Amino acid sequence: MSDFAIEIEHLTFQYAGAAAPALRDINLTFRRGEIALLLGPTGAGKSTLYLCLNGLIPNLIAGQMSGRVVVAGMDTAEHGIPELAQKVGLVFQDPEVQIFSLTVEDELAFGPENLGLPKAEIMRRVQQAATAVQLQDLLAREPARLSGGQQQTVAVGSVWSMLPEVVILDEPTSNLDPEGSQRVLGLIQQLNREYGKTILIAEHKIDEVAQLADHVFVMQQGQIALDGSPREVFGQPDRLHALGLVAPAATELMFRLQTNGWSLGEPLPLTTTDGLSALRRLLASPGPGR
Amino acid sequence: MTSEFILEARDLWHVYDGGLAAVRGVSFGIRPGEFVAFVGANGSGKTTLIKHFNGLHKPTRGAMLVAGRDSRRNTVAQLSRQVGFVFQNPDHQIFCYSVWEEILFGLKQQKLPAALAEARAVAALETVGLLDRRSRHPRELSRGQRQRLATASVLAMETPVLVLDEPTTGQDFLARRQIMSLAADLHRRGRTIIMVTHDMALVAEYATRVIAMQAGKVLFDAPPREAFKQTEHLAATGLRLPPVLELVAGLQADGWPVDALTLDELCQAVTRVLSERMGQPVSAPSAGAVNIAGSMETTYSSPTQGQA
Repeated sequence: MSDFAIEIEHLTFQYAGAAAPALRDINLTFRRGEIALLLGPTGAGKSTLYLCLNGLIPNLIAGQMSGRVVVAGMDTAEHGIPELAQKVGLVFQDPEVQIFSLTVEDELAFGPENLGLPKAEIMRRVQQAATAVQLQDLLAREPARLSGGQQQTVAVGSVWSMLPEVVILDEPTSNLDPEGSQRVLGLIQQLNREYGKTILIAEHKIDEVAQLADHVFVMQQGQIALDGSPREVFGQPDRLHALGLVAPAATELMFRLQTNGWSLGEPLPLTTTDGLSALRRLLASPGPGR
Repeated sequence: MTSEFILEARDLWHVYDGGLAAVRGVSFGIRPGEFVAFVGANGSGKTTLIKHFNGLHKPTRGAMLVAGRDSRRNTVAQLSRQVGFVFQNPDHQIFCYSVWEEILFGLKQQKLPAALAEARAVAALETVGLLDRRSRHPRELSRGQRQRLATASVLAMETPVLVLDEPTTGQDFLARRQIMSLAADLHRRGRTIIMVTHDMALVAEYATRVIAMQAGKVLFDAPPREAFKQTEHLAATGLRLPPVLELVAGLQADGWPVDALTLDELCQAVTRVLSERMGQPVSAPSAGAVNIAGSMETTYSSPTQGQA
C-alpha cells in the first residue's frame, strides 16, 4: 500500500459552460494519517477540490477533467461514487446541505447501513458516534429542527459512525461557539490519533487549527500557492497577507515586532502559549533587540 | 410610552410552544448609537431574544419596546422601519432574480416614490461594492457577495437599528474585514448596531458593549474591556478570551503595563514598553502597526477602507 492517502497529479478541472478552469494543474500528496489544513479565500477552488476527492468529479458533475486523483488507493476515474464514499467522508460547511434523515439516529446510521454492516455493529457505531459528539439526548430529534450548531455536530457525528479512511471537513466549526469548536476539533484530532484517519480540514479559525495540522496548503485561483509545514507557511505572514489570509494572532504580533526591529532571532510562534513565552523573553531580554 | 432607549427589554420571557423557556426574564436598555455584541453558547437564547427586536417573536411575558413602542401592538412591517435584520445565511433572505430587484424589493414594500427608492438602492449597492453587479442573478455572486447583497438590502431601508446575526460566519478574512468595516462605518454615522457572534476578536475590536447570555438570562452586561476581565464568567458561558486578550492577560499577570483589545493596540503597547526599557524614544503609534488591509487587494471601497 502506498504511503499516501491522497495523490493528485496535474489535476485540472473546468465546469461545463465555465469560461476558465476552477482547478489548474494541482499537484498534491497527503500522507496516510496526517492532518492537512487547507486555506484559501472564498472562490479559490477548495470546494471543487473536495468534489474531486470524493469522486463527484468526474463521476457526476459535468465538466472537463484532466490529470489523476488517487484516494485510498483508488483512482477516482475508475471507481464509482458508492465505492469512494466508503473511503472518503465529506462534512460540508452548511449542514443543511447534507442532513436529510428524519431523526438524528437515522442520520448517524445512514453511513454504516450503506457499508452493509451487521445490525449490531450499526447500533454500536451509532452509540459510539453519539457519545463521542455528545448527541445521546438528541437521537430521536428531527435534525431540521435543531440549531445550526447542533446540526453541524450531527454532520461530524455521521462521519464518526462511518469511520472512512479519509475525512474531509469544510469549516466544521463555523456555526459553533468556542467550546463547541474546541470539542469538534478535539474529536477530529481523536479520529486522527486513535483511528489513524487522514484528515483534510478547511477552516478560517486559524488560531485554533494552526497547531493541529501536520501540513498546510494554501489555494488561490485554482492553484496551490503555498505548501509546507505550519511553521513554514505561517512563518511568512507577509506572503499570507498577499493571498488575503492572516497567520495566528501570536504569529502576527511577533512578526510586526520583528518588522519594527524587535526580534528574538528565532522562528515565529504559532500558538498563544508560545507567543506569550516569546513575548516574555523579548520583554525580559537585557539589551536592545535591534 | 416614551423611552431614552431605542431597544428596551423589560423582564422579557419567551417560552416556545413545546414549553422550552428560551429567554427567562431579561432586562436591558440600548441607547441610540451603541454597538452591542450579544454573546453566549449555542442555545443560550441569543437568537430567540434578538428576534424580538423586529417583532418576529413576541414576548410570552414582560415587554419589548422598540423606539418606545410595545412590540406586541405593532406588526413586523411597522417594527422593521426601526430595525433591519441581516440573517446569518444570506440564502435564507435572497429570493429575487437579479441584484437590482432584490435591493428594490423591500423599498417597494415601503411604498417609497420610485425615484427615491432607486436612489437609495444605488447608494446601498455602492456602499457594499456591488453596483456593477446590479443586473446579475444573485446565484452568480460568491457567498461573500451574497452576504453583502443581503446587507445592502437591509441598509437601503435606512433603519436606525441594524441587527447582524453572526455576520462573519463562513466568511474568509477579506470578506470579514469588509463586512465589519461597513458595520463600523455605519456605527460612526450614528446607527445602532446589534451583533450576535461567537467571535470574541470581533467583539474586542468593534463592540462598545457586551451582553452575555447564559441559559436564557443575562449573565453580564459591560463594555468589552471590563467584560473580558470576567474570565470566570466567560468560561461559564463557553466563551474564551480572544488570543490577543490571552496575551494581554499573561503579560499583565507578570506585571507588564500593557492594555489592549486589538492586535494593533497590543503591538503598540509592547513596542512602548520595549522602547522605554531599552532607553529609546517611544516610537510613533503608527510604527507599531503593519497595515494588513492596506497591503491587500480589496474588492470594494468604503470610507473606512485602509483602516487597520
